[in-house]
Amino acid sequence: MSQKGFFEGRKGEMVLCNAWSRLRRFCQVKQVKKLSTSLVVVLVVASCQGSQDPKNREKATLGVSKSFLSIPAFVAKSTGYFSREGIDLTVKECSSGKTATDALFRGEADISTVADMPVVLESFKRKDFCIFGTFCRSYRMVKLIARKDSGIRTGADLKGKKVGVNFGTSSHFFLGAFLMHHMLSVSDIKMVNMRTVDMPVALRNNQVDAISVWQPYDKKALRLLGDNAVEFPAGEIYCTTFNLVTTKSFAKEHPEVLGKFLRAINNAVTFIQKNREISQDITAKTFKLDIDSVRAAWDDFVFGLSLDQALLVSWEEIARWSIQNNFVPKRKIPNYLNYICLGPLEAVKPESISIIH
Amino acid sequence: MKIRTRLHVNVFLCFIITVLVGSFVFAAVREMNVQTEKAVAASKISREMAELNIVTHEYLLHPEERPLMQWNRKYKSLTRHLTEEAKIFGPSEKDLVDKIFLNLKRFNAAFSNLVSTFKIVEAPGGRTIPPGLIDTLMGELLVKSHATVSPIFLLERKIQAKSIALQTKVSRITAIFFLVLIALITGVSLWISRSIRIPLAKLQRGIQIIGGGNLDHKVWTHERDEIGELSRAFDNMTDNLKKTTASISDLNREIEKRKRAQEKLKESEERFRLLFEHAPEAFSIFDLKSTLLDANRAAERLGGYEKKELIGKRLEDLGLLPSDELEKAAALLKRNKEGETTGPDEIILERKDGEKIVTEIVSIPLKIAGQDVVLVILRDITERKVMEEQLRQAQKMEAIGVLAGGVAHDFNNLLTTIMGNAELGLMGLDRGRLPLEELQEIKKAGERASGLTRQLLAFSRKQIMEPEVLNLNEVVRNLEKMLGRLIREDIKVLTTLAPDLANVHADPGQMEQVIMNLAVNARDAMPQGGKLTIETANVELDEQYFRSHGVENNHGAYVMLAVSDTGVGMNKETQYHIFEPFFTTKAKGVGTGLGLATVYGIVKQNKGYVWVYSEPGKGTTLKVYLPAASEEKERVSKKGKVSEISGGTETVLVVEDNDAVRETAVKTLEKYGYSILEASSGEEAAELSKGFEGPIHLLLTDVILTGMSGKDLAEILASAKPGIRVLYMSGYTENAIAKNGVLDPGVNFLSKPFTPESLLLKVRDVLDQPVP
Repeated sequence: MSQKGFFEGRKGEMVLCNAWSRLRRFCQVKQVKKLSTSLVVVLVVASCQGSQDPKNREKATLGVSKSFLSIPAFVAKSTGYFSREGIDLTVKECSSGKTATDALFRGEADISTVADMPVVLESFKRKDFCIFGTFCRSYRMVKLIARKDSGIRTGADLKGKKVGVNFGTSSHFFLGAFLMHHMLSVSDIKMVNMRTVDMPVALRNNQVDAISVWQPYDKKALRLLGDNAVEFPAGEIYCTTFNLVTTKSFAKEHPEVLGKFLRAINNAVTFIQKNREISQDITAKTFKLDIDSVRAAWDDFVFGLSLDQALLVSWEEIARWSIQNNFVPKRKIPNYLNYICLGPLEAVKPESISIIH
Repeated sequence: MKIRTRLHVNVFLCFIITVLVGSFVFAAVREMNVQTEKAVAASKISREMAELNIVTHEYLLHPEERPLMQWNRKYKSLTRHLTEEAKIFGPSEKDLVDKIFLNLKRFNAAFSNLVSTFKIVEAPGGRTIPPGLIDTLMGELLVKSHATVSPIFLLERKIQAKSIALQTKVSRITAIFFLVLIALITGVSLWISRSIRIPLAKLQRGIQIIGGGNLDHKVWTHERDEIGELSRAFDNMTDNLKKTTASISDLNREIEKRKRAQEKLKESEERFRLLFEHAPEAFSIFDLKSTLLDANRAAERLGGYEKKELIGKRLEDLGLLPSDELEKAAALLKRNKEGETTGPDEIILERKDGEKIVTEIVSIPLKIAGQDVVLVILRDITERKVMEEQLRQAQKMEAIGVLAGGVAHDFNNLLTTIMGNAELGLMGLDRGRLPLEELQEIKKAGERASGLTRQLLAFSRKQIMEPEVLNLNEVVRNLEKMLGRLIREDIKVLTTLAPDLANVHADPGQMEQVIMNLAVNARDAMPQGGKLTIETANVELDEQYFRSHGVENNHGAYVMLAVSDTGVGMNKETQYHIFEPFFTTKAKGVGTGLGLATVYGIVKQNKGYVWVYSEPGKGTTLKVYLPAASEEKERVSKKGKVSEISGGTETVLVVEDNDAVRETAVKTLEKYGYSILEASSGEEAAELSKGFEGPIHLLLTDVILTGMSGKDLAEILASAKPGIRVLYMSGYTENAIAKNGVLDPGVNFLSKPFTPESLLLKVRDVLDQPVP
């Protein structure tokens, strides 16, 4: 794969990033911030485009959940890292990781981004997919927000209250974990199944006393409730991971695409770490949010490629929870080693793999 | 030992030590690498054991398929690694490795027991197991796990300790090596430095002393190294230098000597400067481009200029020389350039106040400070010249007196002849006879008298020079009779005349005078009688001739007139002075001292040269050279007109204050048909012409008149009567119509006394000239 272009290889990229950092510091005036962000993106894209031999280029479609957990994928796309790696990537934006995975199984996407919960649920149904990387994790992705006027001040106050929850998702799993952490069980509350997007309004309208909601809808709920809102610290009850999933057949037939894809994501992660504000600007534009909202949520996420042993344990916990709550028809926990594809990440960043093998 | 050898030894020692220590370090590093490999292997075993424990715990927590699969994979991986890595461990670690193997197998057995038990329990319709069995198996599993981990940790610690010990050892050896190396380098460097520095300092001191001029100093470095060789070479060089260079004392003496010489030179220069400045003669120094370089105070006084006004100016810009003198000065400078000392010559200077002074100039070519210059010495001789003129006039009067005494005899004879013949003629008339013979005698006597007058005028240098083309042979022949009267009978006169003698352009009267003077001089040189030879010849004077006589080159054809005698002759000293005025070797009252001076003046006036050849007791020859004239002789044709005397009808105004002369002229002209107006003065003539309405064709006027001069009258009439011709007549002119005795061009002149014949010829000649 040819590496010709204005910025040669990773070193050139680093130089560019440093230059942008200096430029960003210089451009503290608001009026020029937009311009500087656009300029940086344009320069990165320019440095990436046209640098690949067209003969070696790969085509792929990414089904991506429009969630902050997918920020590395959006940044990689905006900065042209996919193109640079030789992938002409089509991004298919989806409302959640589950819909993105559905698109994958329907053959509308080659790769999708997905959280733990859909992986576990799908693992009870099929065996033809695999996870080839985790690129984001957050202990603050899912939160519990309650109304003060419902008398909720502590977690224990949830007893007997109506809690809005999206069944079968991380919202649901987090609520169970949260309740257990506060010495409650699901039977101590009344769960109201609803779509995540509807949760803030339902909470404001007093249809529920609390909601287990993921970002960015938590901000909306907090805004709607104003002083009446209570946000419970998530602590380290549940770590949401956002993973890259593909079909086993695609992984077998196109291991090089997955390798290139992971390299682009890895570059994007490096870019995000070195260009925090520019990455925030890209995110704000992508999600059509004001920059302050993005900045407020930014530190809730940790970006980085990995495949951890904890991932397996975590999935097994979710699977166990799903069996206990009868969300799945089977009673046997799948062997999640069979849903892991180590090869691509081993080729790109082997030191980030801690799965015992 | 030479420095180079010392350096080589130093390098060699360093090399040996480096090789020794390097070999040791190399071996140590190799050992360290082995230890590192062991450490890596132990670490890997330790990590895999930790992973095995993780999945063990996961399985114990949830005995699912996944942890079981991972356990089995990890166990196999660990066993394989142990087997592979066991080769790199040494005998000291082998026990521990064996122990790990053994315990790992036990751990595996315990885990397999537990897994079998779980399978029995979970199997459909599974058997009941004894209570506490699972806990027992779990405990056993944990014991086996710890038993396996323990030797792995020991192995890790042991290898780590060895690595640390080895690192410490290598570090110490390396440090010692560097210390030894530094010490060695420092020691040897100090040794070399000391062995170089001390003799070098000695050499440096020696060089400073010798550089200060003490060539007797010796460096005396005895080292056998390069510095020793250098110092010995330096000592040799100093010795050689000493041989060829004066010592300081010599130099000081020389300096003192030169100082004294300079002081003396300065004194001398000052002395000569004072002499130059205060010399009574005017000294000036010119370069060869005629630029004035310096002048003394006398020169300032002479010219009336201050020195600073003149220095740096060229000769022609000084303003001291009238234009006609510049040429003369340039000619002198030209001779000086050729190395010739000139002078004394006379030159006229014009002072700052406009006064003209006559100076005597001597110019000497010199070389001052390598520059070619000309020293010009000027002396104001104006006063002397006046005195000389006065003396010359006085002496001339005396000479004329003497001459008059001599000539009186001839005049008395002539007068006797005239008076006698006049008486005889009158007596003849009384008897009715035409006194033709007596008149002829009277005429001849008058002509001789006229000749005598010319001689007198020539001596007084008031004679008008009328140069014409003439032949010297004729002049000599015409003078032969006269010479006969001048020369005593005991002197034989011989003439050797060149038959084809070229003509010359000269005044015939002056030429006669030259011959007469030379002949009289020859006569006086032969008191005992002898032979006087007059010779003429054509000669060609070339450059060589002029160069040998040291005069300006004007080579070409000349006519030579030589007058030789067989008299007493002259020495060189006398020869040198003979052309000086008033120089005479004759007894007082015998000679005037003007004879040869007159000859010299006339010859020079006619652009000729005169040389004297004489030997005491043998005689003297004086040779006169006159430039040969290219024109044909005119005198013959003029003389041809004598037989064709013709009159005219033109009107002639005759102005003469001498009544007798005027009447003679009037009568002669009237007799030949001319209309005459006569006046005795210029004023009268002017009045007369004013009242005369007709044309006046000719003014015949005396030059010197009482009142208005003839020249002034001629100018008046020239404007009043355009076309009037003028014929001057005079005994002498006093420069009225002539410069330096030569008539101005276009001026018609009739010398007194004149005969009626010469008057008529001249009048007709003038009237026939084109209207002016």
